Order: sequence, then structure tokens, then C-alpha cells
Amino acid sequence: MSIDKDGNTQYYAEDAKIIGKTDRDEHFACVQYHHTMGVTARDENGKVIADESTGKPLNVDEKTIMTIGAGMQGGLTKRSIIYQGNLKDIEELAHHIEEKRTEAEELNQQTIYPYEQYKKDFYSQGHHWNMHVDLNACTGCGACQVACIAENNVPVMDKKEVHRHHEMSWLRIDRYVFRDYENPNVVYQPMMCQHCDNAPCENVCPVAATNHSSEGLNQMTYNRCIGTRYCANNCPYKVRRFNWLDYNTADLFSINENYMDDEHMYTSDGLPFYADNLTRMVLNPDVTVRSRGVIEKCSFCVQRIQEGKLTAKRESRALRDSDVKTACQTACPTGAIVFGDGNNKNSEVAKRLGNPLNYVVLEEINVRSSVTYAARVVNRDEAFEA
Amino acid sequence: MSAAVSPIREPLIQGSKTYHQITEDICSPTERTPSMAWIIAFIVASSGLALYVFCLIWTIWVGIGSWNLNRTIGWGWDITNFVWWIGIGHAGTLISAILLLFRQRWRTGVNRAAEAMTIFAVMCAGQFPLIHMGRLWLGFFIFPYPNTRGPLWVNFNSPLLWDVFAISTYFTVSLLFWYTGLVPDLATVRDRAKGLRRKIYNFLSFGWTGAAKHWQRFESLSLVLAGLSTPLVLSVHTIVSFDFATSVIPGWHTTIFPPYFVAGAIFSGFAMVQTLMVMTRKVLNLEQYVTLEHIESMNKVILLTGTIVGVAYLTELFVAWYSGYIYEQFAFYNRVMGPYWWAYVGMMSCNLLSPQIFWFKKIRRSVFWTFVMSIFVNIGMWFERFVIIATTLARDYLPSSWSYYVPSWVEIGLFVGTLGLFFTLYLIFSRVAPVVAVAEIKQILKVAGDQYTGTNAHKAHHAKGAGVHH
Repeated sequence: MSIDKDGNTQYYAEDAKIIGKTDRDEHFACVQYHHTMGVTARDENGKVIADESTGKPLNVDEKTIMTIGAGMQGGLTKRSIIYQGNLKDIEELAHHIEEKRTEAEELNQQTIYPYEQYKKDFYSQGHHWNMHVDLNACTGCGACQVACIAENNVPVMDKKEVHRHHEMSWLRIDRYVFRDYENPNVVYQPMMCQHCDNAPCENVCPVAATNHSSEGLNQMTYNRCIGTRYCANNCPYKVRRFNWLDYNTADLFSINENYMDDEHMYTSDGLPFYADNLTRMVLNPDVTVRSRGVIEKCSFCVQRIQEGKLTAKRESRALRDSDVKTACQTACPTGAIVFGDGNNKNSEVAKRLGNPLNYVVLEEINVRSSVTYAARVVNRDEAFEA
Repeated sequence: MSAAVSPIREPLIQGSKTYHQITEDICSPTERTPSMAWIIAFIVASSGLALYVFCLIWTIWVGIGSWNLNRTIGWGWDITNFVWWIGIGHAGTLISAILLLFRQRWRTGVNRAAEAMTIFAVMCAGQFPLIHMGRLWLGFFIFPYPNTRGPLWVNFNSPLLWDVFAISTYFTVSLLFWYTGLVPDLATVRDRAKGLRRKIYNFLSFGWTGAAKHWQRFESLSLVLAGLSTPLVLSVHTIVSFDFATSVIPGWHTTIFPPYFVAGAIFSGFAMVQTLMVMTRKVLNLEQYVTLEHIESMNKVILLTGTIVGVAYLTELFVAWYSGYIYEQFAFYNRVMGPYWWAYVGMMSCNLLSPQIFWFKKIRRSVFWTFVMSIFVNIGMWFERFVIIATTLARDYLPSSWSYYVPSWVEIGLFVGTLGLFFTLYLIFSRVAPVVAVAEIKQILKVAGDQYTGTNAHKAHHAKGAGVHH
């Protein structure tokens, strides 16, 4: 691959030939514009391009995301979103994570509302739902995303809407490509609502449509939501989804319901897609279908939590780990996602919370996320790296 | 008002006006048939209003999906327009309240139009928080009213709720202030009118007779309302800035926002006053009441507030760098160098750089340059809000969710449409009410009329006036 005169790495194949034209413009719809987080490049001689001031390998993707200038080195890589390392440096990785987490905790202590206090007062009794995602186990297959869509009646968007970034998935797989661009590594990161105990979305809603349960769930009350989208703006993880149009035929007005095809749109036998009885059978009856103009997001499969709690109650016993499993957890073929009661010291999730490679995404902003990730460790021969 | 006038003060009323001439000059535009210029302007403005209504219905009927906002950028032109309009309103309140308390006589030439501008701008601003809601028909949820849902209260932690109170208070007080000032002038119009017109103006002027008791109450109420409005000049835009400052988004979470927003609001408000007054004084022949002295004073305010805003921009950059916090640093780097660099350039050049030409007295007193600059500042302040809102949201914490945003025709139509709403209201106002406060101009005639003060004053008046005190 080459570097153009502005110093941008050219990611496309240069020897491609056009063999025919369709005379039709097609939009390319994707859910993630930006994939890289610290990609190093080599010049024509195969030498890693170094930063002139520090001598370290230059992250060429820092430049490609800017319109003017050479980019800000570290603007992508210094974010506490993904942690990864090689197996032989695992000690170093664990140390690095610990250092970053200590630093974040130090910052988070600078508050007049110490979290430890209200954690003890409000969340130490009963359940506190936690999730653990092991980035080592995640293969990025997307089964969790599909399971979530099926379980939670999440509307599936067409190309036009995805092109406008109107995808509705509650759970997405973020891809971050890093290291040498000719032979890059990738981290897949399932990203869903982090159910923050100090959630920035909750305090900004003017009508209190999103609030916190005593079990640490960040809840959405759809019929209270008036759709200011302030919560979505203030979500650092950008996991909140807005019903821009009437995606589920659940609206007061019928203007923008999706029809099976244009032909049947205005005829008497034409039914909106979701008004068809057979189609409606895909919907999960345990989950509310959302109307246009409201925000929705991952609920930690609250319907399954409630069902599990009721089962335990009916059988007059304490809740077991196996009573509650989220849809994404059950779908994951590699067991990367573990969900459970963090207050129950015998639960699998509580055990996983002891992993020294654990970290919390964006821990330094003190939102007190309930989802913990385990850093990605690769075990690969150095010879393959180049 | 005191009769002591500094000799360096220029007269604020030119043309050796008598009291009758003042009444004649200012009231007659409401009595004549409208000029061709007014009719054309009104057709253009009301077409804009029609466009607004169309886009509004479209938005409600189709949904917010008719806009191009996306999962990353939840606010775009809608809230940009909201903040822009609410900022514009601030000059009217500053002129009517703070300048009244400081006894600045030049306010009398422009306060009526500026207050009207405030009210119309707040009306335009108030549209956006409503129509940006996904479910406008449930918008009444934002009011804390008794209900059977628990009762379920609003969330008093939310800055959007503070906005509801701030803006409704602001609109109410501004409307009261404006209308109070109008009462004696509407009575003046009534006294000159006949038939139905007389009846209407009699009703509108609450049966004002000009009795000493009326004047006493009028003055007291004006002072009380000025006292109420003064904190509003500072508080309203402070609260609007809290929409951003209390969030966690880098580039929004900034303690500098309240003073920076207030300065920006006064800056853009004065620019809009200039845009309106330069046109109004020309069309209605009011050059002797809205003089170059008035224009220069307002340009000085624009220079000052523009520079304050500029210092705030530079401070933001410095603090981002000094913070050592990567998200903050990136947010500001991205504002300047990222895909929305052109908005940042627009903001910096229109708000910080171009008003610096007002250091030159010649330009401060040039009607042409004043008009050009007022448009520049309006554009620049719109860009400022766009930079703060859309550019910041486009690239926040997780690079996976970054996106870009271009408005749809509906969003553009809504903005252009509110300009139509604003100018329709202003044009109607200029036809039905005196655009300069007749009673207040008369109050300052003896101290600021050019036959009494300044270099061309009649010496006899001075000698006589001074003699009284001996």
C-alpha cells in the first residue's frame, strides 16, 4: 500500500480495474465509519514511519480522521476503550490496566457524592445486575446482536435508514483495528447499555422517563418518554436508540408505516408490514413494542430478570445464576458474555469480576458502569506480526 | 431624569424637534397606508412563515425521521436555532432593563424595537424545544402539574426542565415590560385616531388618560420590571448553557459556558438590533431619533462582547490543552481541524476577528459597515452554536459511533421559516405600534435634543435652563 502526497495511507487496492458500469448510484451503508485505533504504516522501504518528535511509531489513522493538519497523536489510542496485549507481555498489560484504573479511581474520588457510600446504602442489598464481557472469547460473530433483536422486538432497518445511521440495535459489535495496517489485529467489542449506577442519561431527562432501579438497572419508561433525545446525546457509549419513524406500526399516525411493497401501499388490501398478523408473530409478547418518537436501549433483558425472580419466588428459594440469562448471553457461542447478580458472591459473574485483566470502558468519567470487559490478549508468534 | 449633561455627549434627538413633531414623526407610520417596500417585505416574510408551518406539520406528521439527525447526533439545527434565537432576544432585555437602571439615555431611541425583537425572538426560540420532541403531543409532561400517575413529577435535575422555567419566565417578563412601555404610546395613537381604530387603541391602552397618578404608577412599574428583568439577562442564557455544561460530553462539559453564553447572547442580540434598526430608521425616516450616536454606542457593545466571546474561545482551547485530558483535547482539536473545520472558521472569523474593525470610529459610525457587520455577527453566532452542538456530538467518546450530519430540507425549512415568523411579526409591529418609545423620547428631549445640548444648541435655552438652579 502506498502513501499519497498528503501523507494519507491509501487503504484501497490500486491495481483494481473497472470492468463494467450499471449507470446506477448505490449508497454504501455502514454502521461504523471509523475502525482503527492506532494503526502504524510503513514507507516504501518497509520501514515503520516514526513520529518526528517522539521517535515512536506514528499512528497514521490520527491523520486520516482530520481534515486539516497531521492529526493529534494519541487522540485515538489514549482512550480507555480497548486494552489489548501479547501473551508474553501479559504482566505488563495487567500492570498497565491497573495503573490506568487507579488513576481513574483517583479522579473519581474527587466528588462530593462518593460512590462507595451510596453503593453501600443503595446497592449492597438484594440483586445488583452485572455483566462481564471477555474480549478474548469474542469472535465478533454477531449472534448476540441477532438474539437481542429477536428477543427485544428491535426494529430491523433497511439500507436507507442504516445509511442515515438510524440503526436500532441495542447491542452492537464495535470493531477496532490496530497495529500494522498490512497485517492488522482487531478487537471486537460488544457494546450495549452499561447500566451505569451514576448514569448521565438519567439526570438529564426532563420528564424522568429513564431512571434507576434498586437493582442497578437503568430503566426506560417508554410511555413517559417525550423524545427530547438529551439522554442519547449525553450517553458516553452512544447506545441509546431513537425511534425516528414509525418502525413498528405502533404509532398514532399511519403516515410512515412500512409496507410490504409500494404496490400495496394505497390499496385496501395493503397492510403495513407490521400490521400483518403473521408478521406480528415475530414479536416477543413479553416486550413492549415502541412507538415513534421514543428512546429505547438495552434493558439487560429485564423481562427475563423478572421471570427468573418470579420462578425463584414461586419455588420459594433464592435466585440461582441459571434463572436469569440474557438473550445475548445465551446466543454467544464462546461464552464471552456472562450476566448475573454481582451481589451474589457465588455467581459466575462475581467470580469473573476478579480477573486482573478486567477494565471498565471510560472508567475515568465516573459513570459507574455495570459492565466489565476483560482485555484482549493475543498469543501469536512475533514473526507473523510483521 | 437629571438635567446635568456632559458637554461631550452628543444630542440624541436631532432636528430641533418639538413635542408635537415627535408625536407626528413616530406615530404617523402607523396611520399611513403601507409603503411598497413594506408590502414586498411582508409578502416575503409571510411566505417564510407559510414555509415554517408546512415544515412544522411535516415534522409532526412524518416524525423526527424527516430530519437527518442520527444515533450519534441527537440535536442539530433544531437546538442550534433555539440557542441562536434565545440569544438574540437578550439585547432587548439588556437595553430595556440594565440600561434603564444605569440611566443610559440612548436606550430610549432603540428600546421599543429591541424589546419587540426580544419577544419575537423568544417566540421563535420557543418553537424548537417543542418541535424537536419525538412526541410533541405529550409535551405537557414537562410541566409539574398534579396528576394521577403516582403523582409523577418532572425531573428537577434536568437542565431541560430549568429551560422550561427560564424561558417561560423570560417571555412573560419581557412581554409585560414591552407592553407597559407601550401603554402611553398607544394612548397617543388613540388620541389621534377616529372611529373603530380609536376604540381598539383605547382598549389596548387600558384607558390611559395621562393623569399624574398614571405616570407615577407607570414609572414605578417600569422600575420594578427592570429590577425583575436584570437578573434574567444573566440567568436565561446561563440556564441555556447548562443544557451543555452539565453534561458529560467533552466540549460541552465546560464551566466557562455561562458567562461565555451570556456575552455571546448580548453580542448576537445587539447585532440583530442593528440589522433591524438600520432598516427601520431608513424606511420610516427615523434617522433623527436613531442617530449615528445610537449606532455607535451599540457597536461599542458589539466590540466589547465580541471580544469577550473571542477570549472565551481562546480560553477553551487553552484549558483543553492544559487539562491533559485526552477526550477534551481531542474534542477541541477536532473542532478546529476535523470535518467541521469550516464551521469553526466561520465562527472565529465572524465573531472574533471581524468585529475588531469597530476599534475605528469611522467604521463604528458607518451605517453601511454596521449593517454588514450585524449580518456577519448573526451568521457567526449561528455557527458558534452549530460548532458547540453538532460538531461536539459528531465525535465524542467512542470512535465506533462517530458520524457526520447534513440537515434535511425540513430542517433548513424550519430555520428559514422562523426567520419568516420573526419578520412577519416585526413588520406587523412596525405598522401597529410606534417603533420608538414616544413618551420616553419626550422625557429626554430637554436634555438630549440638539436644540438644548451639543455644539449647535441655542445658547438662550442653556442660559435659561441653568438659571433655574441658581
